[in-house]
Amino acid sequence: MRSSTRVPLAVAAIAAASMVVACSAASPDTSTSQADDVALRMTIWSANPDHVAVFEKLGATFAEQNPRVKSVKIESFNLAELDTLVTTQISAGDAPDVSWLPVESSAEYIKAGALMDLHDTIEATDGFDMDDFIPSLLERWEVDDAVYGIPFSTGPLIMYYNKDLYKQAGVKDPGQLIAEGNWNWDAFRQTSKELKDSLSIPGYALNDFDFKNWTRLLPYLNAYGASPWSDDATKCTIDSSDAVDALSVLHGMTFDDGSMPVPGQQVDFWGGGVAATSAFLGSAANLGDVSFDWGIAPTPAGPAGNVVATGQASIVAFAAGNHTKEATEFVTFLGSKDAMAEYSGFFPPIRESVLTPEVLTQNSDVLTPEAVIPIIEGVKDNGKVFPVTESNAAVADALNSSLDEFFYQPGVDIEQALASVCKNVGPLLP
Amino acid sequence: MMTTQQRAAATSAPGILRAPKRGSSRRTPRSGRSPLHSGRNLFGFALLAPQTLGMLVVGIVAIGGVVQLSLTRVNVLAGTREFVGVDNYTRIFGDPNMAVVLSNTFFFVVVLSIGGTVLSLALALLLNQKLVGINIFRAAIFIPALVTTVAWTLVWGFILQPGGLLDGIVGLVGAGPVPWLRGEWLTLAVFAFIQLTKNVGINMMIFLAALQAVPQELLDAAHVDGAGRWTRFRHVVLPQISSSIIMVFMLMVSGSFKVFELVLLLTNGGPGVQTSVLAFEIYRQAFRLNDIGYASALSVFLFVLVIALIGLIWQFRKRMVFHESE
Repeated sequence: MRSSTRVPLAVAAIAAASMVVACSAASPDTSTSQADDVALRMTIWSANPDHVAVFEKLGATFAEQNPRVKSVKIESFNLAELDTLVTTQISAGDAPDVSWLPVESSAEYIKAGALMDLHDTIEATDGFDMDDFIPSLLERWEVDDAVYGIPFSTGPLIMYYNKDLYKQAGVKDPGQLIAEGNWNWDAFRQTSKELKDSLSIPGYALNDFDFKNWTRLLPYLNAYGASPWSDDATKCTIDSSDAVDALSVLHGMTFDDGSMPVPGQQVDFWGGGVAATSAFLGSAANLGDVSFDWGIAPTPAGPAGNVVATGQASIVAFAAGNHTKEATEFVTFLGSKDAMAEYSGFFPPIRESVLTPEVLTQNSDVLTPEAVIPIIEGVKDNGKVFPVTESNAAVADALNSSLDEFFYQPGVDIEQALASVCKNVGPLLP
Repeated sequence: MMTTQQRAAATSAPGILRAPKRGSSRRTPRSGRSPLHSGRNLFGFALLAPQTLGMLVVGIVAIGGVVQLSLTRVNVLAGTREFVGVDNYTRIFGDPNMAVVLSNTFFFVVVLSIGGTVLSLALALLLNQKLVGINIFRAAIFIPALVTTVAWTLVWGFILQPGGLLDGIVGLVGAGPVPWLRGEWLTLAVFAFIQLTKNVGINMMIFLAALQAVPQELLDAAHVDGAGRWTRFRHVVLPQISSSIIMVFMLMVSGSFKVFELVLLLTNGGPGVQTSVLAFEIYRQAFRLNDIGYASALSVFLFVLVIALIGLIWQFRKRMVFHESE
């Protein structure tokens, strides 16, 4: 046989063999175990030893109370890897039984049937006290009577500021603006520019943003009554006049005033490189290491009032897990009042009974009950959980990518830029 | 009188003697195969078999799995798959982003393979000298190859950031700030530079070894014939190192299709998809958009592209590599 015909034949043979072998590979076994020695796996995105320890302790308690459950293993990973980890493990037939899940992913996971309904288990649990949950903060996880997750952490985006830098620049800090009753985006933009002109460092930066995370724009959008999409998540609204007004402030601060870092510029609030930042309440742990006098405040208000952009994460049971019954019971156990009291010192809860300044600051070396009272009031009265869509992965990718392409550029027509963003995002909304 | 090239070929007689004329090469082993010879072959195959089998099995399952996935629409969250035939492949040609992604990918293939080969050969020629302390220069160029790509990229991220070191340097002459990571072709050129400087050391070392293996007597003979420096390089050195050139070129071609970390860490493919490449697009579709079927089709497409290009170069080697056509 000539070598020129041997090679294609060999390639064809390998391809055919590949298909046969791959097609004959065992399909994932998703059957539910009936054994009495169930080992549950729970994934969380914190490697903080205290966080891991509290869930390990609760897992051990649950295993003691349930003869069918032998153990609960807590596995830590990075939030950015959540989708990769979960989808890979589901495909491999080895999904975690229980996991934390950010609210942005809730609608997409619920629509795909990836989450277990907890309603019946909750109903059957004595003393669960569902009425103790603040209803507006639970709604992202409810569809009719079904409950797909127990929010364990509902953290507002708040403002952290460096009092020393404001003092050095001779500019009013957010605390002083609040005392004057002048705490809004226009006033904050003005003081940020004055600080930048005086000290040549940015007055404000969005934490964990890097021009790739649209959720960090929500303090602006919420204050102006805007949202990236409509309430029913069917129409892109980031090109609305309210959104244009809101994002004009951010654009102006970035490209006109120079009081916010431009794309690619690295700044660090915790190292003293910027005067203020907005970050989750949980970031207060970083304040223990800073060397400056600091303060915290709600994010500035706007024409729509003082709306608090609130992130949320729930504990969910995966339908693709191998022990769905036990997983559902474990999630319900973790949502009970006693269990929630164990970890509420680390994660702001949505149970009225434990959402108190004392509980929230019990594990903090830096926060005081007095300091967090306005934050808690803000969440209770004006907390607005991040908007969600059933196409979260695609929409978030298109939104981040389009904002980067059309909006995070100097000298653009903001109305046109946001209209271009909607042109890309709109078709992805169901 | 013999030309320089003929003399070079004649002087490297051992190589020619080991390459008998066509026909004789097949007869000799068959007619003269001894039990000792067969036993030695068997022993060789036995040594190779476990590794080859392992690689074949892993490779076959992986390739087959990707091909199979590429023919399906996968809902990873629901754990379901639906057979869609070649839909994912036809989608590739209708994808509006693909024109940019493919042109960026081929930009890297051309620049990194041709530029990388020429640059590393030039550096090897420059450093193939017996000077005091020459090893310091060789090490300086080779060291980046020892650093992980992620660390290398992060350092460049700091250098290129607005107000960073590079902006400071161009600012000295009153220019800038330059949007190094925001401007389409400029950013691609920056990426190509970072990737080139990262890997040029290894290729340079391969060329250096090849250059030092060029027999001195060939160069002396050419010199005696009156060949100048360029003629010696063109007609003696280049043919002698041609197999190394083709090997480096092929490695650069296949490697340049896999530019990924730079894109992920420095621009995330943006703004929009202006700096995205095929390898990054596969990652984005699979792990950000959960579209495993389409990502698999893109993977198969990339696989075929690489194989086709390498196959083409392999065919061309007969003309380009000295002795290869004999």
